[in-house]
Formats: sequence, C-alpha cells, structure tokens
Amino acid sequence: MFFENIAKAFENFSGVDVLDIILITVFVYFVIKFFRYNNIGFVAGYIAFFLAVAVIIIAATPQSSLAHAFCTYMIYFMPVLIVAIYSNDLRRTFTRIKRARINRAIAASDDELKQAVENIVRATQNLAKKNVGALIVLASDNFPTHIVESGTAVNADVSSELIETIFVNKSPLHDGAVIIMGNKLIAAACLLPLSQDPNLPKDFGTRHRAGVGITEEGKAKCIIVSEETGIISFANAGRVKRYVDSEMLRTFLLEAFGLKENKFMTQKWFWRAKK
Amino acid sequence: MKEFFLELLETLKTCLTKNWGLKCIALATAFVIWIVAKGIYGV
Repeated sequence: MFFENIAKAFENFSGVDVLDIILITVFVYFVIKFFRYNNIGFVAGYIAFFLAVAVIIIAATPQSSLAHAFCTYMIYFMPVLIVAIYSNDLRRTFTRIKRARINRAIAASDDELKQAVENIVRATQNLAKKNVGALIVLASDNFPTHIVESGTAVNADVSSELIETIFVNKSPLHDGAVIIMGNKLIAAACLLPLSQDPNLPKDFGTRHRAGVGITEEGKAKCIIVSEETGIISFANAGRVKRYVDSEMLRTFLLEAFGLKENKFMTQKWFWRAKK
Repeated sequence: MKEFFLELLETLKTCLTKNWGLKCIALATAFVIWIVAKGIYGV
C-alpha cells in the first residue's frame, strides 16, 4: 500500500505538489537554521531518528493498531514539545533581526579592519609582556548568539587600550573572553565551551581549552595569552599554534579578516599543537 | 518605515544568495518528507 501510494503520487504529480515541496523546503530550512544557530544540532539528530522510527511504525502497522495511533499522536505532539523546551532559543531567534542590524553596522572598511588588526596585535603583545591572561575571539557572521549574550555587551571600536583594560586582573570583565566582530568589540566576559579534545597538550588549562573549543565549529578564531608564561597562541578550526610572534599574529589576523590571501588558515597540518 | 523595508530587502537578498548547501539539504529533506507523507496518507 505504501509503495503503491508513492507510485500513484508520482503519476499524478502536479503544480500543487511542487508548491507543497517548496513550502516544506522553506519550513525545513528555517528549522535546520534554528538548530544550527542555537548550537543544538544534536537534538535535531535525535528528532530525525525518532521521526524515522515513528514513520516506519506508522507505515508498517494497520491503522487500527495502538502503535499506529501512538506514533501519529507523538508526531503531532512533537512540535509543541520542542517549542516548550526551547522557548528561550526561539525568543532569541525571533529577536535576531535586531542583531542583524548590529552586524550590518559592523561592516567595516578595509582601512578600519587593518587598524583593528594593529590594535589587537599591540594589545596582545602588551598583555603577553605583562603575563596577563587573555582570550580574544574573532567571530564570524554566524557566531552563536548565546555566547555573546553570556557576557556583557560593549559595542565599542577595537583599541589596544580597551582590550588591555578589560583583561587587567582586578577588572570585573577580565574573567572570560572578549568577542570581536569586524572592528567592533561587541562583548566581554563571555563564557566559551571547553574543548574535549584528548590530543591537546596536557599543560593546557581552562583558558586554552576554551580558546580551542570555540574554534572547533569553524565559526571563530581565537587568540590566547597564557597567564603563567605569557606565550601567545592562535586557535583555528579546533587546532592551535603556539609561540606566535607579532608578525605571525598580524598575518593570521589579516587572513582571518579576509584582508590577505589565505595561506595558513586553510592548511590543516599547520595547526597542530606542539606537545 | 523606510528602514524596515530596507531591512526586509536585505534579509531577502541574504536568503536568496547565501547558504546553498543548507538549501539543498532542506530541499532533499522536504522531498523525502513529501514521499513518506504520500506513501502513508496517500494524499
């Protein structure tokens, strides 16, 4: 019956079906985007698995059976369950249009970005000289908003003085990461996910693991300054380059901001941690 | 008001020019959903 119905549907394929598929595509597209942007992609996996099992049961059992009815009602009930569990994420998604305006305001000219790069390099060098620990995240457009919201909004032009001031030990914002998008420092004291990679060097502390963790999904790069040694590291795509000097850092930043042709950012072999 | 329409235009432009990989995944998923729905309900 199942396959007969499908064959019949293809025989009677019409414009209404095309419209059907387009509408479902739009719906699925926004659902996937919602899961990806809110960093809950693993939930989508569970839901897809459950739906597949439910559909198989519905297809295999007669309409009068309890399993058929149970699975049908579970499918109806699922959207309500998702809305209830992820109400906060949904609220955040609907307010994203406001954030899109902020992102567009960040669209900086090349000169402004170069200025920002110089400021970041200077700040990093000064922090390293004084052995002040720092975590500087260079965020891309699709950076997870919940991480930005975990800290304190700053929304200021990047300057070396600002970055150094934030990371001074007694500063209320020194604990956590600063998020830089374009030439704007958008937030400070943000909480980052820790990397669970067992191949990272054993002497990596929480700061380094957080710096690497945020780059694992490819939505950010991160500069890490060690508090103990003053060593500057640069994390990219879940890997880390240690002992970065100012010239190397400048090159990385110019590549990260798209001001220089990618030479290092796409080379995976380059980004292995020195144990 | 003007700002709202500019915003809307920009959003539509972004929707139509970016994320082609994701759109293809969405289209494939939608097609599978359509086939399964047709198979089960025969509508």
